[in-house]
Amino acid sequence: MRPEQDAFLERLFRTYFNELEIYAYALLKNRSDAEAAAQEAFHIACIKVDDIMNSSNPAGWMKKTVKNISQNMRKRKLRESSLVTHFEDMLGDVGMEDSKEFELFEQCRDILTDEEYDLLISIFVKGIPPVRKAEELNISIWAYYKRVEKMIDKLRRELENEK
Amino acid sequence: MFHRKAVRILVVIWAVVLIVCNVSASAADHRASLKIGYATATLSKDRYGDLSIACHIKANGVMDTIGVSSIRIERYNGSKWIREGTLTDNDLPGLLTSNRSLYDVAVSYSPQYSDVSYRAVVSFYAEDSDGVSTKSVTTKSV
Amino acid sequence: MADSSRRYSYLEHLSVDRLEELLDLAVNTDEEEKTEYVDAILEVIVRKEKESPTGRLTDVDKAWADFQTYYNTEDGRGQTLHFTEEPKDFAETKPAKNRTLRKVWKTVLLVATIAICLLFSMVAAQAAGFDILGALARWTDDVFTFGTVQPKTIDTPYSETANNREEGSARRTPSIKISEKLPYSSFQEALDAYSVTEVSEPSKLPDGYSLDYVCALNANDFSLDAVYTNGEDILSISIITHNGNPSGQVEKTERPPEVFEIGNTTFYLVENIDNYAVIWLTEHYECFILSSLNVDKNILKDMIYSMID
Repeated sequence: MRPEQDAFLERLFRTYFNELEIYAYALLKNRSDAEAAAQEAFHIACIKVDDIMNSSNPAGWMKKTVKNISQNMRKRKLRESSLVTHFEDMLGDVGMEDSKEFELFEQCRDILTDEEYDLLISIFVKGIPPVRKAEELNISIWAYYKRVEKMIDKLRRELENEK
Repeated sequence: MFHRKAVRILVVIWAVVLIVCNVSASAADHRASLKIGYATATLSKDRYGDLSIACHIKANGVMDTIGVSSIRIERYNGSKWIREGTLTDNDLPGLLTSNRSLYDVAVSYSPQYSDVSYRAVVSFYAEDSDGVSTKSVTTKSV
Repeated sequence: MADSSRRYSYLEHLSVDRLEELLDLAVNTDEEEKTEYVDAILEVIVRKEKESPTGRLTDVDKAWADFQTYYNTEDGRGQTLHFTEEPKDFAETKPAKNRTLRKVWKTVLLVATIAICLLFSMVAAQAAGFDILGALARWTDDVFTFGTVQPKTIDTPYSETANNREEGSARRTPSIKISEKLPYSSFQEALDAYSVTEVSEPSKLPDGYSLDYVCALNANDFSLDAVYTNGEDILSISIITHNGNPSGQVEKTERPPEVFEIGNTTFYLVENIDNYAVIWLTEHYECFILSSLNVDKNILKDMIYSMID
């Protein structure tokens, strides 16, 4: 990007990031998802920097982008993995005993590598936000999401095979 | 025709009587004595990472049984609270006592995971010859 | 985002929780979003959060550093994770042509009604007052507290009781500490033994009452109770450390509390079906007196006066 584009985006970021994450929270009801949605929106702004710089309302442009991303995030969470839903349903079952949850994780531990199992615990037990996990693993957010997809695909395949 | 009308009127009166009686009964239930005057539960983490749940209950008279009937330990998985375990007087004698008007207990519990938010849902209990009062208090999370 | 106009100045008087509720309604709607209204709410929320942070906002410097480090990367170039191209979304906003006046009024009325109802519900459902220490005393028809109002007690007469207590399940063996009766002949002895100076034992008691026992629990918080009796009724005085977060739930009937002050301390007297309760805060303790309705309120107040130095 050209220096004036960089400067424009940084100014936009510092001015509107907080408002955009609050806006995203209204749509997603989860603070770390909302932060991620706002971050992604600025990533899109980088890709479409000419569009946003020429827009008469850059702030409105960003809000529309955040809404687009948040709505798709919501759809992805619902659609994504009967496994993810299955996991969340099982873990969210208030009546479930400790021993069942333990068995479930043991089953996953047999299927996954140590790194993949650690990722699973981070998401489903510790609720670590993606950017914080990416920071811990010293990888980009894109590499993080690739690893999550790979882990979920693996679990889905293995658990479907067992049916 | 007169007989049919009379029966209909009687049925309506009977229905009204039933409804009024039910309303009175539930109003009477609502006027039943509230045994628990005060209850509070707080949660903290000690330097070893163990959870400490302090529970206090005060009743308006001497109770046959008073104290805590259960403590549900919940942890946050990033999107919702899920149950990790439940403590009752069966596994932890001393949560309930008898012939007292107030009771204070503190329970120490080692959580399954560190670096995770926890909270406790405490069910208070007071019983005398008239019946039972229960109150649920959810602590702040730590 | 537009500055708050005079039209939305009422938003300044709402809590951030309420503002987020209004934002939720405004944003999650089938109707077209009211941009100016949403912008006004966002601006007020961010301003209030910057003044008194509650953790809703990410630190912008940290967020920018995260963006540069984890999002704006080589392997992310051209990547779109959750974004879908919808060209018409990025056309300049044109005013909706086909709105009827009735639809506009309907939206305005709906939003105004919701806002007014929320404001009134905030006032009606929960009444509140400020304690001298700045803690917010609040009450509903059933409960008084300096903390968050919890669900009211459930009373079940014996004819309907069932054994439906939760089953226990915990892999780890917890430990328990219970309050112990203390070998003190007066409440003041116990207060002195535990170096409690913010409360004194009453020098005046209702007729016929004498000390039955004192008990204490010293765990993650500290509590001390004195139980008096006249042979039939109980009168108890309790103190519990609050660590800045008093949370006691006091059962009451629908009558609002009677508030009185002694020196710098505000006392709240509530009536329950079978008891009076008096609650107040000191610097370190949440203090609570529970007495039978057979004790005259003025005698109870005399007792409290005799506790305050």
